[in-house]
Amino acid sequence: MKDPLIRFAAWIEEHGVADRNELNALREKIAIEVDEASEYAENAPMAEPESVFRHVYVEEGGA
Amino acid sequence: MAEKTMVEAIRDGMFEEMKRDERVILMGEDVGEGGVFRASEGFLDEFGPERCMDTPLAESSIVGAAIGASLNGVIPIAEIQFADFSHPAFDQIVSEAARIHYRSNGTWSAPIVVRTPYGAGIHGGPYHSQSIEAYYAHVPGLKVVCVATPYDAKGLLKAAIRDPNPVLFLEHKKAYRLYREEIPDEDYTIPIGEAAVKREGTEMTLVTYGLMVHHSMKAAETVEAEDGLDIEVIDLRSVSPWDKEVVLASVAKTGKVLVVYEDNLTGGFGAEVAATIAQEVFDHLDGPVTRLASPDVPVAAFAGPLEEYILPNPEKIAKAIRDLAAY
Repeated sequence: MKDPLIRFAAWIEEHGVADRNELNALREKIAIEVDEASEYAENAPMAEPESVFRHVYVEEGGA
Repeated sequence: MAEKTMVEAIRDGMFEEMKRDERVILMGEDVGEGGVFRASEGFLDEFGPERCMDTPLAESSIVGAAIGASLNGVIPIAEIQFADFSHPAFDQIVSEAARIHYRSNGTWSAPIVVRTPYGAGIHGGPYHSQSIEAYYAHVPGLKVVCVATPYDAKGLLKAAIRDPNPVLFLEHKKAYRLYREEIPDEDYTIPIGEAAVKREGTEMTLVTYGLMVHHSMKAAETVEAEDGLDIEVIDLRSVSPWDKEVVLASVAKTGKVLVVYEDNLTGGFGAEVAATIAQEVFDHLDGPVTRLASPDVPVAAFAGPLEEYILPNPEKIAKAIRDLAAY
């Protein structure tokens, strides 16, 4: 079992950072968040082609 | 003769070279599984794990190990899954592979081939779409090949494997399965550094390479049919070395030149082509040496319409031809 994600989850449990229930709850929360984000993206209007020029650099006065 | 896609021609080229010379090996991520684009389908069964070697996800190590093996008589083909992932191996390619011959006073050389799919047009986003040829064309001691047709891919890959120098072999991923072409049954190679005149013409020279060869050919056909313009199209096929002789002779004949490349405009390889033309055949020019390339933004768009907006296509090329023809 060399998959680092699986190994890290096992390590977290072994060292008492979180138990199995907490990890499962976290996974569920993340799955919902990803589903919602996917749905938002699927339903969003297509961006304007000219928007490709935005955010190459930080814009004046912007963040 | 058999009709092959480009990725099939590449597979055959590697297979035949590994059969011909047992020093040739393939190494890379998932190559034993057939590779992400199926370029090494069946290689593990045929050649075993010592000659078809799966590696960890560590590009610097893949190229570094290939260089080390090559210094000990092996001829490794190092596959990088996407050209975008070659950046971690930049130091190995540039500082080690490209310089070992020079800095050892000709004693050592690294006859590796680094194969990698490059280019956009598959909605791959920022990590699966980059053009990387200009970074490497800048480096003496390294050869850089850009292929986009099945016949050229096989002949140039065999030449790259047999070349005693390190070769970066860039395969346009959109061209992998774009169409089929007749490939001779017998062994053949194509010398690295020779351009192909894809279409002869008298009124303008169009210099390009990679996927843009196909777009440029379409554009040339369109302007011939609609505007009666007779365009010569040259596929460089390699950017280091590149075929100055064929390009300069063509421009001297036609008097106008459009350089088309997929990479960002600034510092893309076409800039080198344009500068050389301006310097060498200035007296023959009847119009400005013109470039058409992608704007200076990352090819970061997953969305089809955005990616399409960035990249040169047959319509944009046809427009650039008409504008220059009218000058």
